[in-house]
Amino acid sequence: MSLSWSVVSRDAPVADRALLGFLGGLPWLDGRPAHTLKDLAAAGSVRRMPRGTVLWT
Amino acid sequence: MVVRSGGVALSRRVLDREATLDHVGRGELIGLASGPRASTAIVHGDAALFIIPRAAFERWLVEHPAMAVPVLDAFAARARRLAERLALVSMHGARARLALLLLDLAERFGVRDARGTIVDLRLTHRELAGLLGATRETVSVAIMGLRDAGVVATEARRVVVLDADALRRVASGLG
Repeated sequence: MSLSWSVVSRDAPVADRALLGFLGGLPWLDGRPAHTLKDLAAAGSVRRMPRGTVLWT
Repeated sequence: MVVRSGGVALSRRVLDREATLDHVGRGELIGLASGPRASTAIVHGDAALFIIPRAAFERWLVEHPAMAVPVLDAFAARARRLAERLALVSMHGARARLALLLLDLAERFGVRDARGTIVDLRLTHRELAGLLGATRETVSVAIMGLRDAGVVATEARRVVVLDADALRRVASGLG
């Protein structure tokens, strides 16, 4: 999933707004301005992984 | 990576045993270190992870230097927790160490219900043993003792803390 400036608008996809909301709710990012978090959100992607997936070893 | 839901277990093989170092949950940042990995990371329960390429994360930090402070705080909190876990392994008997660990997990992964606090991680006795630096058999006996005393209950590989005050007494060597 990639994000754009649209994440700050009400028309943004629900998943995008959810990610921005998630980032904004992190204790270590709490209270940061949305445009700053948007840059971080745009740089990453969400992946779902089942139990037992090895991320690295 | 940032854990969005679920959790990740970090472990390291020492001789012939897999020692669990930590469990990270929602909102925690992992895997940023460069160079060889110090641990193995395995998804614990179904998880959603927000994955940020290292280069993009570094660029973001350069563009928003003030963000380095909360990121450092996040890693300092992790380092503090690992130090506490190291102290845990080197102190007390297995029963008190288990009690301390359960209090920590209940605080970080706990879900309240009518009985008490459910530690919302499906941990095997072997995984708990890895976190404590104990054998699986020792952990099984300690859990059985806490269960018989009505301090905790177990269900579907989850621990329910029924009496947190009693667990604190056990953790301080008084129970």
